[in-house]
Amino acid sequence: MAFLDNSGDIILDAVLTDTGRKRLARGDGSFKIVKFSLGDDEVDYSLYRNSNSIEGIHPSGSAYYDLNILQLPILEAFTNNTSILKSKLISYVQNDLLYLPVVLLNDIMFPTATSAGYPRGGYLMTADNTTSALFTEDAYVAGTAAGFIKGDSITTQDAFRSRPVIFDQGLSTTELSVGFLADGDARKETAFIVELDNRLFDLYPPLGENLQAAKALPSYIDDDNVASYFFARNTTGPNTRYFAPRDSVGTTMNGFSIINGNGDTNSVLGQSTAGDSSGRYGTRFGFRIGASLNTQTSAYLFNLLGSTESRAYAGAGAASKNYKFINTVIRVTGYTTGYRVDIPIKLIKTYT
Amino acid sequence: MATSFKTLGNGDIQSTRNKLHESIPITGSITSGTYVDFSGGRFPNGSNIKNYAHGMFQSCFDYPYLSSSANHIFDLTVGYSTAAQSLSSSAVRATAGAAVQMEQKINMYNQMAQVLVGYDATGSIKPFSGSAPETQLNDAIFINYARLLGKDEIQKGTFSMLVSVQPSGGIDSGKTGVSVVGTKNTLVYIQDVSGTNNYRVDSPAGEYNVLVASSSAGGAKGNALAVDKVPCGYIYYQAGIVVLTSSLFTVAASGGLVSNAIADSAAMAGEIAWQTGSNPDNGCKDIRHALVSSSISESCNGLRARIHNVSYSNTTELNSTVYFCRANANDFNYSSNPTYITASKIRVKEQTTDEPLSYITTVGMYGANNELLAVAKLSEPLKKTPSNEFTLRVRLDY
Repeated sequence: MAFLDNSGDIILDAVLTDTGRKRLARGDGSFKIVKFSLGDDEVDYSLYRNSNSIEGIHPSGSAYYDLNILQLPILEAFTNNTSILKSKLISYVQNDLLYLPVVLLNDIMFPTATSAGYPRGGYLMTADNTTSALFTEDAYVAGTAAGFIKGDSITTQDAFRSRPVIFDQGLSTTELSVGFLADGDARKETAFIVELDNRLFDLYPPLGENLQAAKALPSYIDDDNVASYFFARNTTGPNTRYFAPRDSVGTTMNGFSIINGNGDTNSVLGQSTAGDSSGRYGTRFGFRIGASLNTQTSAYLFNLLGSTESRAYAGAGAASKNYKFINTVIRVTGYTTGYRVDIPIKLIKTYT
Repeated sequence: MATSFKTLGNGDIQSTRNKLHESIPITGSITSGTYVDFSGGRFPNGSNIKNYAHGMFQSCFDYPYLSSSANHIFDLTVGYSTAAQSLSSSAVRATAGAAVQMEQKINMYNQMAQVLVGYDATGSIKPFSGSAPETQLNDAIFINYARLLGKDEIQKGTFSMLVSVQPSGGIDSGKTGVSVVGTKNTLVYIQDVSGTNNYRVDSPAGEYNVLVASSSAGGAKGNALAVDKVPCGYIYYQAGIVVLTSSLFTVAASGGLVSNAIADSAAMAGEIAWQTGSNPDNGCKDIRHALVSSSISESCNGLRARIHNVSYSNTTELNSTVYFCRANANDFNYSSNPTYITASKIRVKEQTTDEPLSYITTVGMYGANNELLAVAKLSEPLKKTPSNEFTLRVRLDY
């Protein structure tokens, strides 16, 4: 008589993250585990040798498709809560899905940086009024200062001063004709988590002026000063301001719109070509970031976390000027679909 | 709706408590000999033995204590009560010479007694004593084992200690510091024989038991004791403290437990010389003499020289919460890993009818606000498809 297979029950020893230890040390009951998720950070799915693989189908058959994946070594647990579980496993009721959604930074509505010294694929942000005054609107309009944000200016809204960082969520494929993901489609994101350094930035709604009072409140701030914001769609309250309504036009953050079968020219999903558009539009999400009061009024964090440089930034004249700077990222994660994207931000502050 | 989290129900969280035991062997060469000073020094000096300016106790480490690699093993001290029959009594002390550190020794005894034995109805400190057959323990040696090794408590029934009652002193004066080598007839085996089923609970410091001395060591029957298997002290499990009576190193003719025949020679004149310094007896004839006329540290040296080995098991209470993370057939079959898709198309599926699959490497435990509180890792990727399901038991120890 053979033994029963007991491989379905696996015992694992968990380690507390730094945030977990902090919660436990508080002793106020805030350490309470209520849910779990599964992750696959170490897995490179391009090693899967089926017909989609660039190496071609595995010659030994389908039993060997995942041989390379199963041989991947697994790292020990990090205790930094933001360094682990970067990619989560997702539950969908349907097993017949062939396409999954992504979250992409929209660099059409608000082009990302390309100039020297600017963070490529991200944004350069000034920390105070003195630094902002060095940059001219003409350069921005001419496109030479693309990816520039006035971090001290959230009281006004125009093309130059303060524009939202926008994300398009949906299926970014040219294999599907253009369309919308239905509201009931599980792949349409309904909530986003935004993580950023609480010492450096504040978060504001994407539209409107005089927004100091509308500053978003983080769900929690961890031991490393990373603030986590949670924004859910279709809820009442101020968080709905962070999602673009479908077919809305005429604002800085237009919603997805399809006109006569032609895709949204502002979308980065699929492609938008007259008569041959593609992609499935899900949710458009955005917010504005402002420099924190600390970075506006003090160089302390720049000395602590950053460095200095002398540079003639595009848009700030031909002469080199002295700057203190901090390189950081803002992380946006789809709460239900799990996809996440990191946006590089360079925060600068002039000094003499 | 898609989801990357799964809520844990009441039945998915269970609390357990386990006791973990480690065996702790301490060889006698650590307590005297291994780290003797080499600059002309000899026993009782040792770079792993720390004496303090206050002189109230002596600490023993497993390595020279000035090194950050050193671990504290135990502290030694001695003391006696203020009872009429103790060494504090002038009548008893008369033949022992001038008293040294008498107040400190009384203070040590009282401090240990008030912690381990407590107070009587009048608020006075009770001496170490117990029900028959033990008698009041007035002159004592205290061995305080470090929490580093003892952990939550010494496991009941595991403590044993082999000491020498060699009458001619602990150390050969020509040696730099090797503990005395006794024969089977001069070794005494101290053991917590009934710890597992006959311990006591009337101490304010927790559970304790009587230690029993035996002439039988290592299977060989000796004749070191006047009466075999006789009570010789106490072990306090949670406190990690062993209290030994000085009678253990005194012959029966002087009221001790050791056979008179041990020190019957003309040279020893019926006494077991107590090693307190590089000179074999440092002027002290026996332990009672040493307890009176030597400092606490010097008296502790005598015991260190006579320890052959100590062995016990410690106990760590592990309180665990086990989270049953159930990945059912339709759960977690897709991934948000950027490599999972290419242009939004799933790599591992060739057509819609193919089963989705993913690989689990990590389990994250979250709070209500989605903050990651704990993490568990698998040793290898675990394939998840709609055709299988797993219950991952994630254990968090406190």
